[in-house]
Order: sequence, then structure tokens, then C-alpha cells
Amino acid sequence: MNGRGRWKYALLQMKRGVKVMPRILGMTLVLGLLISLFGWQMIKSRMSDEGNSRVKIGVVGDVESQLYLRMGLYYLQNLDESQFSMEFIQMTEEEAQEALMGAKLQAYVVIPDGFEEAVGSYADDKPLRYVATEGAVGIGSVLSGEIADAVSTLLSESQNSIYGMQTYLRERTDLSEYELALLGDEMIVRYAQMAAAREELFEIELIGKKDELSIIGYFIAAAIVLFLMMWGVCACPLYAEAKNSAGAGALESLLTARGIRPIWQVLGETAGYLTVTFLSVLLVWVVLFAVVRVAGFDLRELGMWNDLDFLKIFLAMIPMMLMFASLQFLIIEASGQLFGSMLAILLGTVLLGYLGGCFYPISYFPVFMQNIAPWMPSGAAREYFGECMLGRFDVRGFVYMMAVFMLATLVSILLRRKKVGA
Amino acid sequence: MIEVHDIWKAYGRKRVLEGASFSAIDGECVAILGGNGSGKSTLLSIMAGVQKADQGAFVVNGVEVLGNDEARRSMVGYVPQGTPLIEELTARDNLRLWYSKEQMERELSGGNLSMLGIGEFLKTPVKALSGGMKKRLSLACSITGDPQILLLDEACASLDLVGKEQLLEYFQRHKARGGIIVMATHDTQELSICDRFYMIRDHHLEPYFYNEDPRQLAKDLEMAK
Repeated sequence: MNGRGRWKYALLQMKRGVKVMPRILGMTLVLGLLISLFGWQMIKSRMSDEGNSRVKIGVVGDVESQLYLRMGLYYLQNLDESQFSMEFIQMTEEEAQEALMGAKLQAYVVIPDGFEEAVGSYADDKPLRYVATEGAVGIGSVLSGEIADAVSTLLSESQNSIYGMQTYLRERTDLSEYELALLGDEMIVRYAQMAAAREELFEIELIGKKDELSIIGYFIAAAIVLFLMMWGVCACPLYAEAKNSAGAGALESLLTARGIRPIWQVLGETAGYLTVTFLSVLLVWVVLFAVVRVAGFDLRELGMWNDLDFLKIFLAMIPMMLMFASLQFLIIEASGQLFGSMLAILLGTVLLGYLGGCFYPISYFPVFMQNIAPWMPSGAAREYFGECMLGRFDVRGFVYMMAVFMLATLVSILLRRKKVGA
Repeated sequence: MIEVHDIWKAYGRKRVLEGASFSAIDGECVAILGGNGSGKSTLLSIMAGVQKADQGAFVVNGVEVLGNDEARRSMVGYVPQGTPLIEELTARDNLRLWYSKEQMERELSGGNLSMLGIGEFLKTPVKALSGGMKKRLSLACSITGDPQILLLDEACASLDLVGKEQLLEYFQRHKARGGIIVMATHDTQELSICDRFYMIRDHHLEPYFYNEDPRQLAKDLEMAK
């Protein structure tokens, strides 16, 4: 019975997994949707709170002696369009670089000396220098949108101020309407010339780690990791309920009596669990492929991928599936109860998701948490998958995940042996 | 014939069995009685090779089978407490784990599987089966190779009268063919087919006189705790 029996048991567990897969996948997608909606609501409500989610921008340069620049920053700090999303902090360039690399700033702007004079002469221009890390490029595009909104408001308010100036002059001087109109036109033209004369309003300088994921790429990697972790919550009934039923232990006892020892039982059941996980992730990946190729979803990293790369990256996810499946299996084996297992996996998902940087980019966290993240299963998997998306192989992450898989499986086997009494 | 000699078992400091010994001849059914947690299931699981005894021997037709898995598996069938089935799969799939295709066809056309009426629900998922059907299927999974010795751990638990009768009829036929049954039970209907009785008292297995009085049995079981 032995050799063939082990394979038969593994195949039966895989068959069992395929049968229950649609139910588990449906539950996972519903759970994921609910958590996403909840998370989106929380983020939306937090973003409307003053000072909670403001993007910190460093300002380097002599602002105090440049009146209009000071006024411009004041407007940006206080306009409705920008006051809740941006915070400008004056600092030296050394301080700004250190803060940027330590993730205390999203970016900084360097204002060159003589910036106002250059604007006023509009024959010469000295561009602002906008400095960010490559990984914050996604934030930069969001930031640019915010600034564009604020500047367009600034422009329209500048126009209002020109008309306001005309009204003031009309009331307090003897200038004729014709002279006032000429004056108004001249002010508008000079204003437009100042803007048009500037060939480059700012140049972007990117420093720090090159070839990082874009923000969207980062969150795709994080979402895949969260999916694999949440999967366990819905896959629990496949195993935990069976252990809690009237047949609890009977199958394990009979298998042991017939020569399929605990090690082969656990490996066979893990094979079944992995089959379900593999097929479900494959389905999700195919949908993502369709969305990218058919709908033309724009993601910077995808520009590097051909169709074969999609397959390679999917296969590269196998170590992640092995690691999370073995950890979830261990929790179920240790708990032996349906609700206990589900709760433990759900709490683990939330905690590991947070510590591993799956809910917020890890660069937003303090340095010590950034150091912890790669040692969390979630952080290691996210980084590993992020490297895969960039076409690189993360050896450290791979070794980590395989080590966790083997350790978790070993502990499951020991627990099963203890339960059976073998 | 089977002989169990001096089986000892402890879980750490917790003693379970101390020097359990008994024997049975062909065609005999032996009942092992005792309260919950007395060690009945432990004794059967040791005989089945699921757990290891701290010391002792289990001899079948002159062959020591503890530690000799191959010999034990060909001669001993073990029906554990509960239903050792994979609920999401069909009866046929569950049987395929224990029987080869040829064995199954042979047994279905006149062998044990036919006697147990398994053919009626081969294609039905286990979760859709009644309690009686599940028990028959569990038994079918445990008796591959038609072993001479059956170890039954509360085989008829949670069955209705009809279900019990069907199983007991099979056990009677097994005895009639020269088979040996060792059953852990405190069900009076199961006890009706047994020839000799033993009770575990204070970790020791002792011969017991069963006078078919359930109230006396209940009192003795209470005292044995």
C-alpha cells in the first residue's frame, strides 16, 4: 500500500481541492472586495482631515527675501485646493536630502538664487528644481495634479486681483476709462509674458534608489500578497471543519494504520491546499492579463513585459504560494477548530499586511519598521514579487520563503504525529 | 488465533494501560469495555499499529505483528472511531484510496463491498450519505484485503437500529467465516454478538462477566472509572 497509497492520498486531496475551489475563490473575492471598500472609505475620510495625509514638500532656498515667492507659497499653503494636501517646510538642501532619503519628505523644491529677478526680467529663466526618489514618481504625478489645480486657481485669482486693482484705481485716481483699460491690458500682457517667457518652470531631478517600483506597481505586488494571505481565511473550512467533525482523527488514524504516516498525510494535504491556491491565483492572473492587454491598463512596469513574461512572473509566485499555504496549514493544524483558525488567519493577515507594507508604502514608516518588514513573510513576499515585476530575481526573498515553507511544514508534521500518537 | 501479551502504555506521567493481556480464537468476538478515557481506543490503536506500545506483544497465528507492519496490515483491519472519509468526494473516490481498480470490481461483484451494499451509492458524494451508509463505507475502507482480524472502535456509534442491524449482520458473517473481532464498545446491541468480555479498571484489563443486564453494566462501568 505504502508508496502508491501516498500518491493516491495526495491526488485525492488535490481532487478534493479542485472541487471546493470555486466556493473558496468566490468567498475570497467577496471578502477582498469588502475589505477594499472599507479601506477605501477609511482612506477617503482620513484624506479630508486637516494635517493627516498632507504630502510634505521641502522648500530649499531664500524665500524670505523674495516677496512674490513668499506670497505664492502662502497662497499654496492656504488655498482650499491645496491646504489639505500639501505642507511646505523650509530647510537647507542637506536637511532636505536627508529627510527625503529617510522618507520624512515626499520631495523637495530648490529655488535658485535670483529666481524672482529672472521671473521679472522674463528674458532669462532659472528653473525650480524638483527633487524626489524614483519610487515616489507616482506620488509626483499626484502632486503635480494638486499643484496644477492650485496654480490654475492662483492664476484666476491673479486675474481677479488685476481687475481689483483697476477698480481701486478708478475710485481713487483721475484716470479715464480708456487709460484704466490700457493699464489693465498692460498688466495682463506683462503677466502673460512672465509666464510665457519661462521656457522651463521646473526641472525634475530624481535621486536615491533607481529602478524602484512605481506606486501602482508597489500596490499590485501588495495586493497579490494580501490575496494570498486572505485566501487562508476562506480556505479554512476545507480543513478545519473536517477536523472538528465526528470524523476528526479517524482518517488520520486509518491512514497511519495502513502505512501512510503523518509526514505523507501532511504533504498530501498540503499538495491539495496548494492545488487550490495555484488554480485560484492563476485565474486572478489571467484576469489581470486580460485587463492589461485588452483594456490597455497603464502600468509603468508592464511596458517591460511581453506575454511570456506574464507566465514567468506567475510561475515566480510559486514560492509565495508555498510559504503562505504552509503557514495557513500550520495554523489550521495547530488550532483544529474552524473559527479559531479563521480568526487567527484573519488577524495574521491584517497584522502582517501592515508590518509588511501592504497597506501603506513601507517608505512612509519609521526606519526601524522598514528594517523589520523584509523579515516578515508579507514583507519578504512583497519585495520578492516587486523584484519579479522589475524582471529581477530576489535570491534572499526566495531562500527566506522556502525556509519558512519547510519549517512550517515540519512543525505541521510534528503536530500531526502528536495528534495521532504515532 | 490472537494473543495480546502485557501491553503497557503511558503518555508521559499519565498511565493508560498496565499489562493488558487477552486472547481470542477463530470465530470469536471479544468485547473491551470501560468508561470514557479508560484506554479502550488506545489498546485498539496499538494493536492496529497507529500508536506504539511502551512494551508488550501482539501475536497473530504465531506471528508477532507489533513492529512488523507488513504482516500486520495483511491480517488486521482497523475501523477507528468516527468516519475516516473525505466528505467532498464520492464513495468511489474514497474507496479508490484503499482498493485498486481490479480489487474494487472484484469486491463489488460478490465480495465484501457487495455484502455491505456499497454499490447502491458509489457515485454519491459522502456528505450526501446517511449515517448508516457512511458507517458501511468506513467499514469497507478498513477491510481491504479481507483481513481475518477486525478491530472495531465503537463501530455502531450514532447509528439507528436498522443501521446497527446491518453492520452486526456483517460481523456475524465474518465470525462465521472464522474471523476474529475485537470491539471496544458499551453498546448493548453490539455486545449481543460478543463471546467474551473484558473491562479496563484502573488501567488493568480484566475478564468481565456480562449477564446482559444493561443496568448492571452501567453500574460496573461507573465503578470502573
